[in-house]
Parts: sequence; structure tokens; C-alpha cells
Amino acid sequence: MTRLSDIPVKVEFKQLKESNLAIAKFVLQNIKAALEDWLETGRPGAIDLKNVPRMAPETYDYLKQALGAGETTIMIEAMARVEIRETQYPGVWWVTHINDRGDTVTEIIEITEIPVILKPHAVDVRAGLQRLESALAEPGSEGSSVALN
Amino acid sequence: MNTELREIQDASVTGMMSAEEPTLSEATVRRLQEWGVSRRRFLTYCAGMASVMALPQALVPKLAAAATGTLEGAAVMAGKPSVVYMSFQECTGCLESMVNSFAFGGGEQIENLILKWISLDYQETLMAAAGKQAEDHLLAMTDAARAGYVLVVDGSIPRLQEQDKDGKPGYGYFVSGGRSGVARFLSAAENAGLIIAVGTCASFGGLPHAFPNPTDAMSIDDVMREYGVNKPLVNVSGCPPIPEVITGTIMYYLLKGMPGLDDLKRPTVYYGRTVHEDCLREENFDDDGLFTTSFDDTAARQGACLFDLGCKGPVTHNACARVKWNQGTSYPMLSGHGCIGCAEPDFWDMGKLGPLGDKQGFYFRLTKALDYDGHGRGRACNSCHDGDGF
Repeated sequence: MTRLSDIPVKVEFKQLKESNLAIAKFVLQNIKAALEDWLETGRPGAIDLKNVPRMAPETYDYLKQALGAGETTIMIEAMARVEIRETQYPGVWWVTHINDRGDTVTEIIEITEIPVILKPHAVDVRAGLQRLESALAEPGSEGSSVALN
Repeated sequence: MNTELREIQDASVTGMMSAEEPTLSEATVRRLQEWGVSRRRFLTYCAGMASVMALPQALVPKLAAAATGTLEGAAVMAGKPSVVYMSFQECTGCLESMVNSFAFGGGEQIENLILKWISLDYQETLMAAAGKQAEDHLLAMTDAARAGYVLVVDGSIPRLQEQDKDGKPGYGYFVSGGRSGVARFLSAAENAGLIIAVGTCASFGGLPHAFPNPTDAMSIDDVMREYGVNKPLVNVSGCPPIPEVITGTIMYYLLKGMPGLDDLKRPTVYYGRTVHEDCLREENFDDDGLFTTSFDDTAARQGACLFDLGCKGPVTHNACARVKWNQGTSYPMLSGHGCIGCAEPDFWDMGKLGPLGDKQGFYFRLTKALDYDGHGRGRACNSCHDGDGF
């Protein structure tokens, strides 16, 4: 039986100005080149969309739709907010930094395995390990989840 | 290749692309732990700052290290980069703009991190010292032993034109601490590693230089040429300049070295394009586009172009429409007022350059034949356009 989700849906773009379309396609070409480079050399890439000339709102929309949505969406809440959305192309992430007023600070397309902001830093991991060791060393902590909190 | 693709390719060289993973150093993360600042929050802040300053994201670790005082190598040995900020014929609007550049986002400590990147060693308006103590401090901060500091100057400087009884040049129209403006600048410039002229007065003469220029005001570039000061100079024009552009230029120099400059010595990362090119109303700048006929009319609210109301966006190089003002809130055209061209030379006098040769103030309408060529009122613009119009 055909379900609603089985019906392919193709979004029709409204007619982009030729210049905006050229810019969007050029960004896509850069993403393609960065993906090829990453696979070949292991070097990650990043495209700061705020520094792409003449990024009109419709160009953003076009890019978002052209890159589509992948399986993973992550939200970081650390006073500021960071939305990380995997695109339909594995390894291509749309990273949006939002300040505490809710304004978009910058939008970056990262071409990498995992965006660096997600990866724990070794210093933080060591500090966390120390906290865990301290918690375990506290009297009565063995077998008690309360004491570890 | 069309203009848009050429620009975007240029951008890929100057900051759009980066190919390194921006991982913070251990020292930087340890410092953040000491301060109790979230690493991810801090990364967001630095990513935003890098973006605003048109720096590649790959420089985020260096930016973070500078902000936390954990930069390795020569910069650590030399301590924080010293900045000496001097004011001459100015209104303090540039400084007001600069001190507002730090409220980029929330976070009690993060807001003021710019003051951790640099050591602001002299600024008459902000510092507590005055009189002899201030003068002594200025001389100490600009001593040869501290050579290499960044000298930020706002305001124009009047030419020495009066003669004292010995026949030597007098103070002109500026004296402070017993020294003329020229003498103060030359003394401070002697050991500077870089001079940054902040604002249109320092960059091009600005308001004091406007007709009839009663004080014979000179730009910093003019003073340096007249007195043979051979130091690198960057003009950060605007009345005032965008706060992030002022601090961004300083940070760019500290992190990446001398920025590329246009023919008016302005950093092309900020002044490489006209405000018109990034304006949200630009899409109506066509023969069949929508143009306003009066301020705040229906068309203006629908995004119509302000060209007929005298907008100088097509001939004004600045980053207003890209970086925006008030922490990214808006810019003049977005708010419904045309650009007055404040980042270009002689903008106070531009009314004299109207198409009819009469003075029409800021609101005369540009005409292609008279005003477009060269994008700078008669000057060739080699940095961002081919001089082939729009």
C-alpha cells in the first residue's frame, strides 16, 4: 500500500535571478570540490556563507533546498545556540550560530566527518574524568547512583 | 566570466573558504576552564567574530588564543599587542563606535574579550590620567623601546601655518600638551609599526577639511606625505566607521598581517564592494525595477530602490549592508534612508559636485554619466571593479 511518505515530493523553486542562481551554483561547486579534497587528503573544509558576496535571502533558500536534509540534526545549547544539520550529502553540514537574542550570527557549511564544535576536547575529557574519579572516590559512592549525581 | 563569479572566486581566496579544522589549543581550553566559560559557547563567539571580520574560520583557534592570552610564539614573548589611540580634530564619534563593538553577544566575560586581545595603552577619553601624567604616559608608550605598537588616529590635523616670533612654524589650529597636532602625531608615529587612520576625518580630512577648510585640515595620509613619514597606513573610513570594521582591521593585522588595500588605502575585505552591491533593495535597481519617489512611501516599504532619493550606495565602498550596524540590526537603506556616502573622500562637499554644478546637499540624485565612472567621483577604482559601470 502506498503511504504518504512514499510519494516523492519535489520542491519547485521560484525563479531565481540569474545572478543569484550563479552564486548558489558556485557555492555548490565549492562544496563539491571540498568533498573531493576531503576524501583525497582528509582535510576538512568550511564555507562561511556570510562572506560569500551577494548572498540574497532567496540564494540561501535555494542552497538550503538544494542541499536538502540528512538524517541528523543536533542542537547545542550553550548560552548561544548552534544548530547543526546534516544535509542529504554525507559529510556536508549546515552549521548555524545563533546569539542569545535569537539573531543568526553566522552560517557555515562544514565539510567534515563531525563538526569540530561537537567534538569534546581532550582537556575537557580529562577534567570530566577527574570529576568522575572524585565522585567514585567519595565514601559510599559504590553502587549508589545518588552519590554520583 | 561574469562579475558575480569573479567576486565569489576572489572571496574564496580572501576568507570564504578554509581548509583546516579549527581546533583550540590545550592552553586555550584550560584558560576557558579557569574562567568558567563554555568552550562551545566561546567557539560560537569566535566563529561569529571571524565571520564579521572576514577572517577564514581556520583562524578561529588563533583568534581564541589571542582572546584568552594563550597565543604561542613571539606574541607571548612580546605581551599583548600595544595600541596607542590619539585624537585630533574629531567629534569622538569614531571612538564611541569602537567601544560599542564588543557587545556582540551575551556572556559577562566574553563581551569584553577584545580588551584581552590588545593592550589599549593610551586613549585620552577612556583613561583616568590627565595633564602631565597623561603626557608622560604618552611619551613612555611611544618610546623607541616599545617600537612596533599600533597607532590608531582619529581626526584630521591642521597644517602648521602660523609663524611665531622666531619665524618658525607655530601650532596652527591645534595644540595639546604644549605641542602642535603635527608634532604630536610625528612623535607618536616615529616608533609605530602600523598606523590606522580611523574615520573619514583621519582618512580623508572629513568635516574639518570640508569647504572652506578654515583650519587647513589634512588627512593622516597627507601629513605623512608632507613630513616624509614612511610607515604602513590603513584608512578605515566612515563617519563613523562600522565598529566591527575598526576592531576587525586591528585584529586582521595582528593575526594575518597587513590586509590588502584599495587605491584609497582601505582594507578590501571591508571596502572592496559598494554598499549598493549588498543592499537588499539592489534587486530593484533595474530598468523595470521599483523605485521610491518619497521617503517611507508604499514602494519604500516594499523594498524599492532609494536611488531617486539621492542614495549614494552605488559609489560608496563600505560593508554597511554586509556587516550592518548595532550588532547586526540594520543599515541605512534597510531602514529606509539612502546612503550619504560617508566612507568616501569629500562627502561633505559632494553637493557641489551635483549634476547641475550647484550645491544640493546629500540628496542630489546620481547620474550615470557624471557620477558613476570610477566609483569614486572621478578616481579610478582598481580594487573591485573594472570601471565598466553596473
